[in-house]
Amino acid sequence: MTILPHLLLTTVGVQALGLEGKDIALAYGFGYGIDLVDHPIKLALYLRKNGRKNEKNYHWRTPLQEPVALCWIVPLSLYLGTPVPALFFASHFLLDYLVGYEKRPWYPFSTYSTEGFLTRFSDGAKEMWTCAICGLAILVMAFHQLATSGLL
Amino acid sequence: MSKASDSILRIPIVAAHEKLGLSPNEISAYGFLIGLAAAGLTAAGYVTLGMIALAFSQIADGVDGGVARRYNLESKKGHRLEVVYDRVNELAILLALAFAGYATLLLAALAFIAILLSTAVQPYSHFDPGFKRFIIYFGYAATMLFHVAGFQIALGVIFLANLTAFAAGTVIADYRLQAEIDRQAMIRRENEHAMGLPPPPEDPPSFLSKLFS
Repeated sequence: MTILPHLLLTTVGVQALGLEGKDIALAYGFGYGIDLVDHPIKLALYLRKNGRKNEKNYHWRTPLQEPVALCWIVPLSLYLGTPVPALFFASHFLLDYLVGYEKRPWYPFSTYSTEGFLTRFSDGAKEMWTCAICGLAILVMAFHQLATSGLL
Repeated sequence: MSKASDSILRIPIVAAHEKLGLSPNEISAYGFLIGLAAAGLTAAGYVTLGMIALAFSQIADGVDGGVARRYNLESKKGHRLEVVYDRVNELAILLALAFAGYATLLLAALAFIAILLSTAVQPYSHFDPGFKRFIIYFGYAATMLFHVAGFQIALGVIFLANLTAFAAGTVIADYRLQAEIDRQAMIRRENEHAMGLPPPPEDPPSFLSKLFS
């Protein structure tokens, strides 16, 4: 998915769990920031193959944002003493698996590839619905916070 | 251990094979037993003796590979055996440090899991950070010289280094696969061009292509 649904879902998670301090940084790092690290890795390969031409379904992903990364993110969560990295990383790849392009969830241990879930619906519609639901959830939680703090 | 260590360990390599008549697998087995003894000594509180035994075990670990390479005795079985011995020795010394109270059991377990992960990805990435038992000596030095929780720090370093090696290893393997997929696609495209076939229609411009144009 694009930047917006990842940011919105991470914000929903941060609000819903009432995270504070370093947990917020970890949530945005593993919920969204992992994209910023992952996608530039294959930029050199893309430019070598396509130059400035657009290839819509180029395989930009690396195992850094596939489920295989849970092998290192779960131990890291245990080391840091917080479930936030594993939880928000799971939310990240679950959103990505809603969009229909090729993914290799267990590479290099398996060459199995998949296009994810709900492939009969259009990517645009899924993205729009995700944004709408997350946006609504953010508004409801913000309203609830204002109401409980007596500001409304 | 690598070929680079063979020149440093040349004398014990020659002595072990030519004077004592030991095969690489026998040296690995002796190294393994010394490693277990190191763990036992450390767990019993004799940490200095434990570290000395660990050093001998690691020297044996270098000598077995050196003998195999020098006398053309390398085998897949021997390599597998060495990997198994190494991992069991690492588990033993990590648990021993936890048992003796030098590190938490959680960190010892996490460090070993990270070592297993980096071992699992190494055949695909051909990348080994080498941050395993060797780091424990720094932990010992820090504990003795500066009276800090040196072993706990060392285990943290082992954990983070091997976890990073695993994550990097998966990326390296995937990058190689993608490079090969792209290479084949480019060859196919060149062949189609040489046969006079029209190029496939271009995808509509994206944000990236606009950015670079």
